[in-house]
Amino acid sequence: MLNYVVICIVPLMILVILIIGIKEKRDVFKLFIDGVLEGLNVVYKIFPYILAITIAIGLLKDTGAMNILLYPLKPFLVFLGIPENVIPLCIMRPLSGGASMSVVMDIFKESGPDSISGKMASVIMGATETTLYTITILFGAVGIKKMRGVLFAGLLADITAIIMSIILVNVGII
Amino acid sequence: MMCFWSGIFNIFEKTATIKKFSKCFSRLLYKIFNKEKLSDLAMNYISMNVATNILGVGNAATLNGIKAMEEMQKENTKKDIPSNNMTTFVLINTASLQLIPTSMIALRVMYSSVSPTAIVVPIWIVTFSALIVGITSIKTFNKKWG
Repeated sequence: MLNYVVICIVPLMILVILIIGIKEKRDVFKLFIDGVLEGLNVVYKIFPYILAITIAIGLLKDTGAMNILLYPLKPFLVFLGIPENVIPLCIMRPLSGGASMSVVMDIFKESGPDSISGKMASVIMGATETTLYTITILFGAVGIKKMRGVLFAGLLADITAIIMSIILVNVGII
Repeated sequence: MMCFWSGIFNIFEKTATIKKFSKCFSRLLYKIFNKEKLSDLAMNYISMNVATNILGVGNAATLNGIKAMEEMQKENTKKDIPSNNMTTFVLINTASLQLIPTSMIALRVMYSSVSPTAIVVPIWIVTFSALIVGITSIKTFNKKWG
């Protein structure tokens, strides 16, 4: 049941917007075309930032540099009581959505989605966002280079999310 | 994909419904944002961004987010330093507001979980607490830097 609701949300939203437009007698098709052109402009403007961050993170990951750089974090995460195979997810999550998704899939394959690590991974993955990527695009779009603590606050929120999901799983809510 | 969403939301933007829609959200959002420094247009985009985030349409959310940032940049006095509203807005976007974690549920179904949707409520609890921590800390930083 819920699965159907989930699948229907996006098409329904588009339909509602179209109906509202037609009801108010707007030139829906022309507005759509104008919007697409405008969107193309936005994509054009943020493309360099997307390219830069994707390649930078890809390089860090594939060369193994990230593992070395983030190695000091590991004892801290072990101390928090995170299962061994969830640790890469905690580290990867703010940096890359694709990479963390593949970590989650590994965990599911290894210990199943209903195991403790599986549940923890699901919650962490679902409750957080690719912090670094979001910051880059939103600030990049308007050409701002100073972040004023946003990164720190965002990471603090991510750490909270990780700690909270450990608590929830250990308490047995899930 | 982003261009498609840009087209769809351009229709919505030009209708009269957007005003009502934005008003619904603004009551809540004005608690977080500084009212005086926020134009109506920026508020429209922020409302659409939050709504698309909640529904989990990532591409549409990014697009509306960029437009909101552009509007806020117009009000910003120091062009290379983000205003308080901008930092708060970016922070909200780094926290995942998604109400129904579609992709996560789908993945759990794929790996034959016994209860794929068991994670939904925990995710709400976790997201909400992370959002509170994030907003509190960004507010503290905003005050510190003036």
